[in-house]
Amino acid sequence: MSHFTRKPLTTYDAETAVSDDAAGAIVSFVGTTRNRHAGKAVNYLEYEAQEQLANKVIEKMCAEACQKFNLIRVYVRHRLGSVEIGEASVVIAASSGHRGAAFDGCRWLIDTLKTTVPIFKKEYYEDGTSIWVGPDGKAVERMQ
Amino acid sequence: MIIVRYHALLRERTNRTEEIYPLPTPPFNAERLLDLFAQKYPMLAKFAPILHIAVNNELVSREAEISAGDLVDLMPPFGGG
Repeated sequence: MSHFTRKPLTTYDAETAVSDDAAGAIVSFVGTTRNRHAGKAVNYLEYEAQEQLANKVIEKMCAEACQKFNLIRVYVRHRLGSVEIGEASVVIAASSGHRGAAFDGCRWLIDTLKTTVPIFKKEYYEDGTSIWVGPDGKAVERMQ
Repeated sequence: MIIVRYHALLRERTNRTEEIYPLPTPPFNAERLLDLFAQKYPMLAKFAPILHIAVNNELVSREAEISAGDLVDLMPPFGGG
């Protein structure tokens, strides 16, 4: 099963996937596409991934999150291809017996995804330019 | 030989999705592959220190050994989320 899709993501799918009779809490996170970056108007984003490796890293990350935070189920889906302004680029959900673990686990999952999963983002601006963006929104071009 | 795949910014700048490198005398590691890459593409040499490397679909360190027939991914910093 892939953690990637070219179709719109919904929290309904995420929350349904992690629902469990033993759960007392479900927390979901939606990362959405902003219309501005570094003072420039963004038209849309494009994502690509080394999908085979990325899926492996996400699987490992999910297993680690379940163990670390005592989560019951987790869900991670990321978009590939073009993503319009306001759309979800990533949806994450976690269920647990109590809310604290679900909040903490969900936060850890998105933070870990950003730094460890081979996904690549390109921003296309209204002025016709585009740049590849790394962690913390830094232009890859200026990171070396 | 080894197959090296270029992703995202590297694919655009090299204008290639993958390329075959002859395997130099072993022991050959990821750091030495980055040296070869930098020699091949001097305008991309500045990125070598920040690239992620995978060998046969496993993320590896600069010290990881690369052998004949390996599939290597050279990847720029990640931007998911």
